[in-house]
Amino acid sequence: MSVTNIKGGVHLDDLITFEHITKRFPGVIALDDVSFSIKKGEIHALVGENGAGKSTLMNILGGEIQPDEGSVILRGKATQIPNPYAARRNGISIVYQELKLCPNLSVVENIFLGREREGSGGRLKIKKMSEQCHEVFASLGMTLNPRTPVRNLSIAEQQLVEISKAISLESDVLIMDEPNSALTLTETEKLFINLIRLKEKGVTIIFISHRIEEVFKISDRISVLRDGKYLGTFHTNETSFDHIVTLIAGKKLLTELAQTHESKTHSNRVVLEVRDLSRGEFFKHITFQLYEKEILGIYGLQGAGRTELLETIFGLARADSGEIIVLGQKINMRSPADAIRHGFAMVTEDRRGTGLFVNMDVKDNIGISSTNVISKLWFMKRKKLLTLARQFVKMIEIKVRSITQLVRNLSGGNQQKVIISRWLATKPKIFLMDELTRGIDVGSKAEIYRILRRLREDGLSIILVSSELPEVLAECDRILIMRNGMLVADFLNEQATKEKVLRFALKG
Amino acid sequence: MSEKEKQYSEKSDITAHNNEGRNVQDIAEGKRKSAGFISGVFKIREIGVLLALILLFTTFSVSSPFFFGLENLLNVLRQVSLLGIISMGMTMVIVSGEIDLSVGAVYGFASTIAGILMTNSISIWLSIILALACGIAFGAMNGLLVTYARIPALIVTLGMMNVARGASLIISKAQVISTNYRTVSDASIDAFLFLGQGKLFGVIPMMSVFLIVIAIASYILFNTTILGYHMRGVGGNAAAARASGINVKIIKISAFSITGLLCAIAGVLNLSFLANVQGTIGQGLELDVIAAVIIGGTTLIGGEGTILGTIIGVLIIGVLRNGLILLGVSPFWQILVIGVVIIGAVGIDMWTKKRTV
Repeated sequence: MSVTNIKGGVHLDDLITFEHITKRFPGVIALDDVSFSIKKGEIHALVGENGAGKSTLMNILGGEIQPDEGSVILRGKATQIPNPYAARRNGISIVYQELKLCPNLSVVENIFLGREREGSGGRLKIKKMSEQCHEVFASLGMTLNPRTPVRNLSIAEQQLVEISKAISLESDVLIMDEPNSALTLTETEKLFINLIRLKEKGVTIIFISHRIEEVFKISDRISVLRDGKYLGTFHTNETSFDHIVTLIAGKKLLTELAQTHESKTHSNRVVLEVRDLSRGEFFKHITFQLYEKEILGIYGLQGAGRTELLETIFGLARADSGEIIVLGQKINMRSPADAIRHGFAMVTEDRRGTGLFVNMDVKDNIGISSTNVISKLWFMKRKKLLTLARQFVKMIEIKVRSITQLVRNLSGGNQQKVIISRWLATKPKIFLMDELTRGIDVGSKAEIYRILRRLREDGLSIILVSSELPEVLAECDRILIMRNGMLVADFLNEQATKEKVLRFALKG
Repeated sequence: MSEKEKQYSEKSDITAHNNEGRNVQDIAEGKRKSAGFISGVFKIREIGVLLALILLFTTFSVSSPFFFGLENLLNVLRQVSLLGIISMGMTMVIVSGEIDLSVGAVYGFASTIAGILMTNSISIWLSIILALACGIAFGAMNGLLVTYARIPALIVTLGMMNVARGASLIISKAQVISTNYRTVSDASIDAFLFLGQGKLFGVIPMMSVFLIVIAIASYILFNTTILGYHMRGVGGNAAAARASGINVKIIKISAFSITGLLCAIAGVLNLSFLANVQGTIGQGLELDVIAAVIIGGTTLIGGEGTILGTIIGVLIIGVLRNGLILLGVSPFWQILVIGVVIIGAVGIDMWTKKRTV
């Protein structure tokens, strides 16, 4: 794909120009020679898959990280942005996906945090600050009491507080990193009206989003990144939804996986049936079946409800309604202990937060869920634990010096293998895996995929939730797609293409 | 470790060294490992506090002619017995990721209620059983409020501390209750007083015997049962523990209940030792207990800590107090020195951990 829609050289109306930006992280090139410009006063959308490099690029602009090569030209001058403070001084503000507000402080205190107006004796001039807040709010056409504690606001209102903060800082570049992922439709409409108002005031807005339809509604131009490479910038009214999605998906082969999916015919025996399962705002009316010896992928964007669905099936959270049926038997899942008793296992998304016991060694991490194997009448059978741990260390090739090594000193891939071992020790029938290979280097990934296939051979049924499309396409027999808490598509692997899957996941 | 296991671990070391995939850190650690026995000893988790104890021991032995004698050392062991018994429970609570400030007050309440019951013509053994039941009840209540009502342990046990203390003062009407031949009619009074005042074989104080038995039982519970294993898991990462199918609530309630029971045992022993009790007994004991546990290497965030470390921590406090008294140092200085030891012990612990991680 050649860069067609951008003319060479720096134009007068180019506010920001990225020149040959390259950024490497251990094992990956996050940005690979990225060059393009953002014009003054436009709404410029930045799109691409998870891990395409959008956030990395914006973090460079925000001073959070430094590029390895290349430079940022700001208002015609090559500018160093060594830290977030420098970005702010240069009029750049970022509204992050995860809001950075203090919930216990009021709106005005948040907006002026770190640059409060003080009167004599260091007393805060709340009144004066509140007046300034009102001015900013008025310019955005919003009504919000500056004295309200932020914790009482909705996510949308909190976002507006962040935007107001950026405006009161007199920023003329506003970066919005997936601002509407947590917003309802009407809230999104409101946000867009505000963004257009800001644009009319001459503020330049860089808008990162996964929802391509919305991008088409709001943006003037669209730039596409894929795997750290820049693919072009297009005027929104001169391009099409399909064209952008094709670009995002790409036509590249799944080389990093070294092999394509081998179609396996799973048995027709249903091991798990989920019927009309709903939980709050997270997901609604989910119905699907999992067959014996099947790897079922669930793909969707962040916040589509995939993780919450798995958590509910595993008993980490209660469903509002619906049924979970295992081998024809309806089960009331009250806790993970219930799920484990019925043959479930789950690798959670957050390895350090909800998976590993970093204070413990390898054997203790492996044995902790199979107390029935390693104990008798409450007393631990130390030898059984050692045997169990050694068996798995050998079987799935965990690289450890000894089984009494602390897990915190292991690599990500080996830590994940420890967790897989923990679950295999419970002899599960249904294995739920949430972002199984997140943060794991390519070599270990391949090993983990091998394990996955072996488990299927051994008769396990697996649900693999992933944000990585190549992974889903290469490993899964069938792919479910979730969007906004709904199940929107169900493909057999043979029918699925990257483009098709993305189209379903992104639309809306 | 059996001979066979040793062979295995050596073998697995060799295979690990031949492994292409190992990283630089592994190599460095492998080298460190081969440095032999001395470095092996220094890898024992409790080595820091153990060295501190030995240092104190030697210092006092040299500087005071009275310190290093069988009688004095047995005396130290008796003096720390109540502190030690309660610290066993506190170790479990802190390792499970919680804290218990009510131990001093529960200890006081158990002592008081036992005293009142037996002086009101209730059989001694029944009185003891009821006192122990009260201890368990207080502990279980702490656990229930922390887990089911989700109130932070600091607040629950601070409240419970006042509840138990208030209850002790109410039922005793703030009077001293004596338990001796005149006030207790039960014929078992001799046997009861023996528990606190007697000596096994005429040498070892019974209170020390209780400490040793309870320490061994705690060690077995903490190191060889599923409950101990799960306590470390729950304290290390409660979310992961839940996702691993552990009933986090039951584990925490158990830790609190065991602590309550141990407080009550200590309370009953003290009643026997002193042959009287007041509602104010054990005030401030919780801080000594927490100090002993912390000095012993248990971290307040949970997950890390050993019974052995706590025993050493208890002995450090005991030896320090005893030695300073023998040297004629003012009690006010003792308090100050213990404060310095707490900070120093944790400081050294953090420093050594930073080096090894």
